[in-house]
Amino acid sequence: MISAEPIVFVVDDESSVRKSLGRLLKAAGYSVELFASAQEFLDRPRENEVGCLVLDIEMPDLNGLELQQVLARSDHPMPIVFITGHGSIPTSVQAMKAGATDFLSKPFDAKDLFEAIDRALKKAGQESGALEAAREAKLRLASLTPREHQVLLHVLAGEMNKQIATALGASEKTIKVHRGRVMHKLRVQSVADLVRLCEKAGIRIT
Amino acid sequence: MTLRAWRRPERALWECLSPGALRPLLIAGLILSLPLVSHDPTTAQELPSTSAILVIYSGNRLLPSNLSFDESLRAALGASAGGSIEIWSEFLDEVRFPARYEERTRVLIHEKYGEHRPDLVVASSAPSLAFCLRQRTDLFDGIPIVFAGLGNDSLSRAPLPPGITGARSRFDAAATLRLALRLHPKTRQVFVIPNAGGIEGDSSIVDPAQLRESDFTLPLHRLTPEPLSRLLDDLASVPANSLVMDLSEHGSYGDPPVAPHEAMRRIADASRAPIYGIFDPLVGHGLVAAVATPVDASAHAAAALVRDILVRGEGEYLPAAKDLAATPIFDWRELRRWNLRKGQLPAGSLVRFEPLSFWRQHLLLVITASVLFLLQSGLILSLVLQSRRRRRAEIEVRRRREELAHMTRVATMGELTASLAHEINQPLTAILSNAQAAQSLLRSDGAHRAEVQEILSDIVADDQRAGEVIRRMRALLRKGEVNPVALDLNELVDEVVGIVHGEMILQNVSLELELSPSRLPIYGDRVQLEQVLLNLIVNALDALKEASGGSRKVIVRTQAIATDRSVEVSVQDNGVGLPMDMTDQIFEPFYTTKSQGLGLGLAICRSIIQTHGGRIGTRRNAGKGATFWFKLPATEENRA
Repeated sequence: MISAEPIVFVVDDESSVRKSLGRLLKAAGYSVELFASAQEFLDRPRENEVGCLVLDIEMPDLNGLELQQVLARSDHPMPIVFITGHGSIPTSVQAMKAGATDFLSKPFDAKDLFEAIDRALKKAGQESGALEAAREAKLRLASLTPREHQVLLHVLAGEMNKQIATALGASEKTIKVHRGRVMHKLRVQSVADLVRLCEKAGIRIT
Repeated sequence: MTLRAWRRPERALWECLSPGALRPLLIAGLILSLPLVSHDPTTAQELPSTSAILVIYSGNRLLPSNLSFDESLRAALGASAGGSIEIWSEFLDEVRFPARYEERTRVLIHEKYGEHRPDLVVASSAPSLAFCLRQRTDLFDGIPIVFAGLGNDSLSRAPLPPGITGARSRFDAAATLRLALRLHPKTRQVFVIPNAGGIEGDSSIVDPAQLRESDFTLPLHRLTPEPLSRLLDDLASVPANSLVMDLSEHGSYGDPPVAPHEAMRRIADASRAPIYGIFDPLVGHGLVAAVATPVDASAHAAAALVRDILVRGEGEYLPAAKDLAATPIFDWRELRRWNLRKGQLPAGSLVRFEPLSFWRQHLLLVITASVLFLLQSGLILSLVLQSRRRRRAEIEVRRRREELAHMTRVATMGELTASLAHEINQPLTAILSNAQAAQSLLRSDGAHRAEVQEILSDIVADDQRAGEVIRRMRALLRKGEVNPVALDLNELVDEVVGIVHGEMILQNVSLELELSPSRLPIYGDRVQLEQVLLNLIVNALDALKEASGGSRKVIVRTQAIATDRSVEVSVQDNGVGLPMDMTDQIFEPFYTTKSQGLGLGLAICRSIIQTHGGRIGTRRNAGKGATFWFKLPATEENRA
C-alpha cells in the first residue's frame, strides 16, 4: 500500500547546497533524504516509498541526466525535479524529453522549488496508485492454475462456455466450474470487472 | 743719399771708424742672437746669372750674432727670383786672437780671393767695415761695399767714402729712458752704467750726459762698469724704486774672457732694479727692453742694397745709405719679472721670448685631442642613446608581452565563464536556500535558535566562498605590473584548480591531484604562473572534449627535482594527444590545432616560463593523451 508520507530525495554533490536544501525542505514539512552522488542514491534499498527526486545535473562520475536514464529503466521510476547551476537549453530539453517534471536554475526561490516538488509528488502519487493496482491484479492472476488462466483468456476473448469447452476439449460443465473459480480468485463479480482488472495487470486483450 | 754724399773725403770716416769708436758696434754685431726673419717681399728683378759677394764678419764664425746675420742675409737674398748669388764669408776673429789679426786676415783674403774677386763686399759690423776700409785699396779696389750694424748719431753724420753704402742702425738711449720711466712711474732715481772698460778703454757710444736732455728731474747716478764683481755688488744694493739705464755692451776680454751676453745675464740677475739698454742683442739676456734697430732688420736692409747694386750691374750706380728706425724691443720674461703687462707697451713694440700659448704651441695636439675627445664623446653619446633606445624598446616589448598575456588570460577566463558562473551559483543557491529555511523556521513557533545560528554561519561561509571565486577571477583578469614574490607551487595548483573545478564538472572530467607532500618554493609572478597552469589545464580539457568514450581524466602532478634544483608541474590528460611531429611547433606563436583560438596561448606560456628562468615542454603518454610540463628553479625554503 502507499506509504503515509512521500519522500523528497535530494542528490547533489555540493555539500552546502545539499545541506541547505535539506534544511529548507524540512522546515517546509517535507521528509527529506540527502545523497552526495547518484551512486549513493542508487545504492539505497527501496520498497514502495512514494517520492520524487531533486537532482543536480552537474556531478562527477554519474551525472543527473545519466541517473535519469538509469531510473527510467528500473522498477522504481520516480518524477524528477532537476536543479542546475548551468542551465543550457540543450541540457534542459534533453532532461524534459526524458520525462523530467521541472527544471530549475540555481539559485532558485523556495516557492518555485516547493511547487515543482508538489507537482512531482502528485505525479508520483498517481503513478504509485496505478502501480499498486497492477501489482494487486498481477498477484491475483498469479493465483490461477494454468487451466484457469487458459479459461480466463478465452473468457476475455468473449467466448461462451460451450465454445471454450470445444476449444479446450473439455465438458461445458467443467469449464463452468473453472470460470467460477477464476471469478472467485480474482474477486470480480462481472466479466466487465474481470476485463478492467486484467487491463491493470497489463494483459493484452485481443 | 745722393752720389755727392759718398764722394765726400774719406778722411772723416776714417777718423770716425777708429777701432775705439767702432768697438760698441762690433759688440752689437757680435751679440746678435735672435734672428726673426721677416720675409721681405723683394722686387723680382733679374740678377746677373752668377754673382759672388763676400761678407766680412768680426769675431768668431759661430757667434750667434754672426750666424743670425748670415741667416737673415741669405734668406733675404735667396728670396730674390732668378740668378744665384754665391755668398762667401770671412771672420776677423780679432777678439780672441787680437795679435796681428788685420795683417793675417788681409793675407788670407788676398791669397784666397786673388783669382776670384767678389762682385760686392758686405761688412756686417762696424769693425769689419773699418777693416774693409783700411784694406780697400789692397783687397777690394773698385768693389762696392755695403755695411750694416753700425750707426749712431755721430757716425751717421760722417761722410761716406765713394763706393760705400749701407744701412745705419739706431740706438736710442733717450727714447729707451723715456719708455722705462713711463713703464715705471714710481721711479725715484736712475742708475746709469756707462760704456766703459774693454780692450780699448772707455768710450761711450752714448754719453750719459745726453740723458739729461730728457725732461726729467730725477737724480742720475753713475755706476762703474768695471770690474764686473763690483758692478754686481752695486746693483744688488740699489734702493727700491730705482731704474738702471745700461749704455754698456759689456763683455770682458780679460782672462778668462766673459762674453757680453753672459755678463749681461749676471748683471741682470744681480740687479734689484729693472735694466733698460740700447743694444738689441742684449735683449734676451737681461735687459727689459731696448729701443734700437733689430739686427735682422739691418741684415734685410743690407740685402736689399746688395741686390739693388747687383741688379744694376757694373755701373757707377750706388743706392743711398739708409737710416733704419729704432723699435722698442722687449723681453717677455723680464716683463713678467717686473710685473709689466703687454698692454702697457707702446704700439709697434716687439716682444720676444713670449712663449707660445698652449693653443699655438700644441695646436695639432689640441686639435687631435679635441677631435678624439669629440669622437669619443659622440661614440659614448650614441652608445648611451642606443642603450636607452634599446631599453625603451625592451620596456615596450615587455609591456606588449604583458598586454598580450593579459589578453589571452582574459580570453581563457572567457572560456571559463560558464564554469565560473557555476562556481558562484553554488554558494548563492546554498545561501538563498539557507536564508529561506531560516525564514520559515522563524515563522514557525518552535525554538530553532541553534539551527538558525548554524544556518547563518553556513551563509557566511558560502558567501566567503563566492567571494573567493570572484577574487581569483579578478586576480587573473587584473592587468598589473609583474610582481615577483615567493610562492609555493602546490598552493598555485590549488588556486588554479579552484578556478577550473567548475569547468571540469561541466565537462564531466575527473581531476586527480598528485601533489608533492612538501612545499615547493619558487619565486615569480603569481598571476602569470597561474595563467600558464590554467592554460595547460584548459588545453587538456579541450583535448578531452575532442576525445571519444572512456572516462575522461586530468592528472596534475607536482614534484621537486633534486638533480637540477628545480620544481616541476605536469598536466596529463587522456585526450586526443599531440600530432606526432608537432611537439616543437606547438609553442610557436599562431600555431594551433584547435578550430578556434589564435595559437598564442602556449607561445605566451613559454615566454612567461622563460622569463621566470624555467623551461616548458611536452611528453607523449604511454597510453592516450599528452602531458605538458614546466620546470622552474627552486628557491631556498627560507625565501618562501
